Amino acid sequence: MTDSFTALAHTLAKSTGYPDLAMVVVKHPIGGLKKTDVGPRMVPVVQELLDALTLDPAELLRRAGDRTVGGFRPPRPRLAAGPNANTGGSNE
Amino acid sequence: MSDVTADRVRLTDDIVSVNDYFYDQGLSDGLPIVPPTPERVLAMLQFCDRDADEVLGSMPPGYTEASVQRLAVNAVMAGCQPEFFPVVLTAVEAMLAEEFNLLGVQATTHSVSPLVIVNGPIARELTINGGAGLFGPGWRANATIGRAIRLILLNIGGAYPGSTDKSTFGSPAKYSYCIAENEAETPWGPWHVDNGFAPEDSTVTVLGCESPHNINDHGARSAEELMVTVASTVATAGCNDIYLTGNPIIMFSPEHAATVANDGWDKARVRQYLYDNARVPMSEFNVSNIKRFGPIRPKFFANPDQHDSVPLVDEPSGFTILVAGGPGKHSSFIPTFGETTRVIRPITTKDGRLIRSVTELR
Repeated sequence: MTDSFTALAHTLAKSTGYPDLAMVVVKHPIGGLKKTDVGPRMVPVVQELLDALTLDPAELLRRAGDRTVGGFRPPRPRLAAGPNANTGGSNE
Repeated sequence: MSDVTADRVRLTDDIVSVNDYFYDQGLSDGLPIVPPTPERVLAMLQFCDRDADEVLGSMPPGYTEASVQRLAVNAVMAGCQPEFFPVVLTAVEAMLAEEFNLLGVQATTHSVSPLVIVNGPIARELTINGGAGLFGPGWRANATIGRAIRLILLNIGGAYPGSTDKSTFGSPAKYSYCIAENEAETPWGPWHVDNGFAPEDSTVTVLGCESPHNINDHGARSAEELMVTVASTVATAGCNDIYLTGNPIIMFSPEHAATVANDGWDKARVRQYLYDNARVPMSEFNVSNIKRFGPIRPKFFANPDQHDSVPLVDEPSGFTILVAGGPGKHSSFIPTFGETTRVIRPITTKDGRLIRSVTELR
């Protein structure tokens, strides 16, 4: 996948039961590149690709690191925190 | 129908603080919400004969379970009146049908949003606008049912803009997209009757669509003249349907529909005309796209030298013909995501009995 789609890929891997799915990430975009530009983009990840196909899954999981995808956190459209800034609720 | 069992959070009574909380939690489309108090959620469930914990399915991309209760919470947040809830629930059922491809609709870079179309007496009972200005603003049912669908897709499905909803531009249609057909002014039968339902049945149809594109023709005096304009507007090389073949909508205004029908044209002839004439010349596709489209739509792009032009759909029946809107010489072309199929579902009791009024669910 390209690096613009990692959050979606991690979400889908987890939600469909493959949280440790091996993934190889390249810089976005790939679509629209000239053929001569594709090779240089791929060379750096060839070893990652080979590792993904051959390494022990436990090692791949360790390398994957934290794949937690945060929820939707839009920025507050405020110049400064106002009187309603602290809205943290308490769980019942 | 059972009690509210969802997790609860205690907030202040201040509406601004409550809205800031939901916004900060990412449980928002950016507009103020109606706080989903247990009382309001319970009221929403009054127009539902199902158990609150019943799960309709798992909603992509997060594949969280879409329970009746969770739908009700989002319907409250959207501002729905309780009697709107049967439409929301039926729309979700339709979107979860495999052929709708909700994962693709949610995650694509395209600007698709589910368009909810309500037919039958329940559309009239709930005052869902199918006439002038049907796409908004102004009608509570259109605005809040459509918004409930979006909040459900965000909060339950987990399609977060820029992160797991990869739409390049997003769309105003992603805020709210719900209409009725103008059954009172169609010269043909209504859409749900075309699909085998009785006029007194009520249905919800979902299509993964772009925003409407206007078709202006103030001059046409015949079906043939008007359809030339329609076909020209529809046939564009940058449209998803041209290589993914969804069910693009041609939405005739009542005046335009009358122009066509008064010359003896029925919907079948309209669809056939569009299939034959709403075509993009092969010369308008660049070489790279022809190569790319080949494996996706081989019927036309695998051997491009054998085709002078490409229709939007593989069969005339692929077009979705509707009549809606108010006075005026405008119609609407609504392209789809392409990799999605329209789904129509009747509004029923939990046992599958078709209803004629939402009061039958109380």
